[in-house]
Amino acid sequence: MQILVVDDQATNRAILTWLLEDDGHTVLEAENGLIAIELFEKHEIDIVLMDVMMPVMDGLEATQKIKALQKDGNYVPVIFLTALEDDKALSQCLESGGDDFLSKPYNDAVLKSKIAAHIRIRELTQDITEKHKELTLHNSRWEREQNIVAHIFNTAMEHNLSDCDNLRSHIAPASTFNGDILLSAPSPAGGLYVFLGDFTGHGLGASIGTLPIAHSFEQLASRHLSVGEIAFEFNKMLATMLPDYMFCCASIIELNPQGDSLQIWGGGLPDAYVINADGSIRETLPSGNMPLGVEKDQSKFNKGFEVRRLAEGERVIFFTDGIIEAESPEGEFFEEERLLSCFEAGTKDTIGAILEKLNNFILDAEQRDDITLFEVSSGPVVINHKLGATDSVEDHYDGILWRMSCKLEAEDIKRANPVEEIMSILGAQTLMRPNKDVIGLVLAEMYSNALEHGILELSSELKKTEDGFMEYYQQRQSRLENLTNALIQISFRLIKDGEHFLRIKISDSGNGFDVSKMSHSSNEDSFGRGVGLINRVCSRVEYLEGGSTIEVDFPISKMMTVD
Amino acid sequence: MSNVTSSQQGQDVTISIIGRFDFNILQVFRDSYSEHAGTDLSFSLDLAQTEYIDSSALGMLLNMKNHLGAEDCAIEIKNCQPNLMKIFTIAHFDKKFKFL
Repeated sequence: MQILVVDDQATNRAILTWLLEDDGHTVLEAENGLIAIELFEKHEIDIVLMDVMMPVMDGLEATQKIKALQKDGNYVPVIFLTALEDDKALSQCLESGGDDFLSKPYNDAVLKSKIAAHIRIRELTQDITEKHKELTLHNSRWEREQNIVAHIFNTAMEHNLSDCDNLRSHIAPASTFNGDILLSAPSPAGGLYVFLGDFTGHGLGASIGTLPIAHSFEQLASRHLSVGEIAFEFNKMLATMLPDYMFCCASIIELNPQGDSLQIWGGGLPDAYVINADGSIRETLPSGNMPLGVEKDQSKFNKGFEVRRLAEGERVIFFTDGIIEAESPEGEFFEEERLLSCFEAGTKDTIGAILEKLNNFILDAEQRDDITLFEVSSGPVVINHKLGATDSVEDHYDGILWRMSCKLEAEDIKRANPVEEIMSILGAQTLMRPNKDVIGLVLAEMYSNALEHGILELSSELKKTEDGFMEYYQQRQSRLENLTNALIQISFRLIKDGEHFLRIKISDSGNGFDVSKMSHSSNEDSFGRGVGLINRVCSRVEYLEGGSTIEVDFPISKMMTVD
Repeated sequence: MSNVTSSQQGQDVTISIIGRFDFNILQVFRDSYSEHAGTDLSFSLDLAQTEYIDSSALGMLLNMKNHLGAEDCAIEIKNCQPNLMKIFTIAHFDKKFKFL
């Protein structure tokens, strides 16, 4: 330690220096207050031993100035060594900023222990100052990062439907970041998808997982996947992304456009309830699957889901466990029983009743977990304002009018299913996506006709009987195996004639077939059905070159809805 | 690959089709119901895990209905995914089978 000794008596300074150097300290000497201040400014002083009465500047004034020179948090103790003994003099020492005093003549051991004690305080102070600086830095960094993350979350959640008559919800996160997530999106058919998830824990850690979910939910909805398939996709994503101890309890539902049928996939959330029009419980729906992110083996994931019919006035309510586990000021849980008491016949506003009961229970207790619930009610789906709705894709399409074609020879035809390959290319187009399944069907039927009737010359007559049906496909297989020379050409063209159409043309190297026979097939027949399907969804169907070429126009903008 | 399973519980026979529902499973599909012709059993098809159907599947369903001599809407189709439902609807199959 570097110690500054201030005393006008050279002898006193010499004794102190000798004493302190013996203890391993370095000593600087000043004969009055003014010199002391100069030395203090020039050197790193750890401790000051100060005489009171000195010429030029006395110890009291010097101490005041030295204390004023000390920067924030740099504590340099000043110990007065004084011959004065009256209380007034001693209190003056302390008032000037001194930290301690010792009366002359002093005892060596007492002086040494005082110095040791003040050095300890100085070190502690330095330590605290450093930690405080670090904390301040971390805090401001955390605040900045929190702002960034909050912005990202808010933007992600904006992808929600802002207003749908069939959906009511209540969201109460326990902290800035919510581990619960509630998403909704329109289905391409005009129905409604809702996702409710609860990640393990709460706060930022739990919140992280909600991002990819929010990001891809709308996209999966626009592909019109079943709730089971959406669950499968999310499980795959979360199983690879989240650490083992983290997962997401979730329910995914799809309400059909008419609002009378609900598809439900449930994994790990508390029971949901189907509510009668009068407010009483019609059915309890336990969740049948493990939470998302648990099953690592994709092939074992159950894509199955439940379907419930909803009559007028009926609704279904879903919860995260935050509500059952909500605590009162006394530390009691809300529990299922209190929840169930809100489902009484005559209760019109179930959500309102639940929230009232919950608020009266929690009162001013700290909320420990995120609370989210939603209610989906029957009746035609009405979406007042939707963001990113898929059925408006056509309105905004100003992309290029492309063409695509391929030639399939005998080897290609025998190899595999070319329709599937083509659809994997076409299906990636935003414009095609909503009607991907129907376009795939049209293409499959056109291709089957070209192959089976045009090239393999199979007769539809065979399919009139059940055994013939069998025979037909047996012949198909054997003729296909023996096929050596054949050509099927397929071309696609996106055209715009007022609205957008996909023109599909298929030509085969066969001898054509009698089209008139096929088109008479009625609904009852199990043959020629393919042609009927094509006619029903295409705006133009034309057979050319004696039936060996078929050209159709499929209206892209027409939304195929499910009745 | 496709797979057809059949299970019976009391009077109810459930046939599940996993993967693609087309002529490639013609024989197994037929085997799953043909032995029950002329019985009082009720049939349902579970399509929860069916990924694809085409007109040959529609033909196979009609053959099943005829083989069993079932009335319209006596055979139930469960868990049909929306993309397949579109195709059934276009084919007016919603009048022939009972979709749950």
